Amino acid sequence: MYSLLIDTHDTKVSFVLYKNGLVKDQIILESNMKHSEIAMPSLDKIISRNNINIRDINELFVVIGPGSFTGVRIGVVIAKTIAYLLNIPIKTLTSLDLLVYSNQSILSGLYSVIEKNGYFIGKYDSDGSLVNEIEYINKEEFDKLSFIDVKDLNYENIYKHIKGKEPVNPHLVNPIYVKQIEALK
Amino acid sequence: MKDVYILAVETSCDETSLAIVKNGKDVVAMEVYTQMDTHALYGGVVPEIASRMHTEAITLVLESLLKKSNIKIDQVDAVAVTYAPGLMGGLLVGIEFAKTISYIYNKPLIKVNHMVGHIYANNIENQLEFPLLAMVVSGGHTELVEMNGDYDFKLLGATLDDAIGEAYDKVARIMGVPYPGGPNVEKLARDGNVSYQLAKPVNDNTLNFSYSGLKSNVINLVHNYKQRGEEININDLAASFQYVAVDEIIRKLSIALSNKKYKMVVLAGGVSANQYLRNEVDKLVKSYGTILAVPRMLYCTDNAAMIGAAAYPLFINGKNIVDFSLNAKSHISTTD
Repeated sequence: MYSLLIDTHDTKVSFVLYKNGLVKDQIILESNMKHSEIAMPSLDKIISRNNINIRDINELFVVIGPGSFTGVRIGVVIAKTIAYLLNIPIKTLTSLDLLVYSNQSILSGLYSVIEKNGYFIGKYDSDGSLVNEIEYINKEEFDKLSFIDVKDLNYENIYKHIKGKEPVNPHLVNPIYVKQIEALK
Repeated sequence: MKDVYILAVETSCDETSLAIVKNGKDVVAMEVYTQMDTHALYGGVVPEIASRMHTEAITLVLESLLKKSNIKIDQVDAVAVTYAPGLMGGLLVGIEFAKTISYIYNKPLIKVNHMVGHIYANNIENQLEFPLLAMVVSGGHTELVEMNGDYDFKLLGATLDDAIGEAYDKVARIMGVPYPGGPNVEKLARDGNVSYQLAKPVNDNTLNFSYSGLKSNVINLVHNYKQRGEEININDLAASFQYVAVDEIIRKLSIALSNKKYKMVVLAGGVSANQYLRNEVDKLVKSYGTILAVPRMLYCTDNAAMIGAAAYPLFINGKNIVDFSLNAKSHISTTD
């Protein structure tokens, strides 16, 4: 049973290949804002160097943001296209979920993801569910709050927490946008 | 020879379009999902909204394309994608989508220049004949290109400042004409007379174009009338602007046509949908004993069929076949 996690929401391009819930291989690269040049070659590489075919993937996990608008779209488009064409179940998670799920047992409280000019924050229950919505705040507001510190992502813990989630329709896999863009204000 | 089927992807601006094209000429199936109504709410194309809508639509557009097509996706010989010029965010959605299909089905990936696509739109229902003179007119391009064979380009001239479509859009904004500005200015001009004196661009014998002077001329005129509290006849102003804008094309085209005998003249790019421009160019081209090719309206505006048509000679000659590191480019010339 192979699973593949795709994450392009920040300055890195990440592909994590699981076999039976354990990390078999991973490619995590700083892209220097060139996600497009790095993402598909990395996918090709992680699949081929493990001597499998993309059709051997049994489920896909994709990070839908929030984060860099252009960055996150790269991973989302790749993931939804594979899921749709090869009929592979796909599950989505947010960039905050990555932090929350990295702990073996989830700690309730506030989590944050840094963005160029501010932070995306979300409050989580101990069952891993988001209370209310993800919000965008500036540095000043950020400094007034305290957050649960997650040092490193733990992909095997992340897997355990998404395992039970329901797959979604690939057509409906789209980035989440927290910060309003100028024209929409 | 075996038939060649190309799956083509076009997402450079505000249409999500996919097509399957046989031998660069027969459109097996095409889908065009336009975002125009959404952008109209903002008075112009908002790049971030365009990228979002491409992402939301792309697999749905593929699903309806495949329903229409008797060719299955794994039966195509190659995947072609517009990589430039256009809006970066939109181009990237199409590029990643095309790469993924190319990867899954192990098909060659071909990069296509959007402007060249507009020229090859004329190869769908007509046959391009060389030597050919292409007048490329769009929101980002005003270029006069000679072709002596497939992909054998020579840039004869280009705009030194604004593109003709850009001038139409800017003038539309000054005149308070809603989006899409260019086509609306043309509509207004139909009921107007050329009554305002607008300066013609510098009259030289090069094949270069200039539109920023004409644009400033309209801005100043509107400003002066407003200051004097006088009413402007918007139809007449549209007609006066259009007369000078199109005259610039006619003047340069006639120099090029006097310099060399061409078998065919092609109008390509978004502004080729302008009926007044088409008529004027048609008259000129006929007077030189040459034929003008203009695509059907469906293939005039952005569409993936033209990308499939432009990719065919590339596929046959093994050109522009790229790997998965392909990136988008916002600005390139037709001849790049």
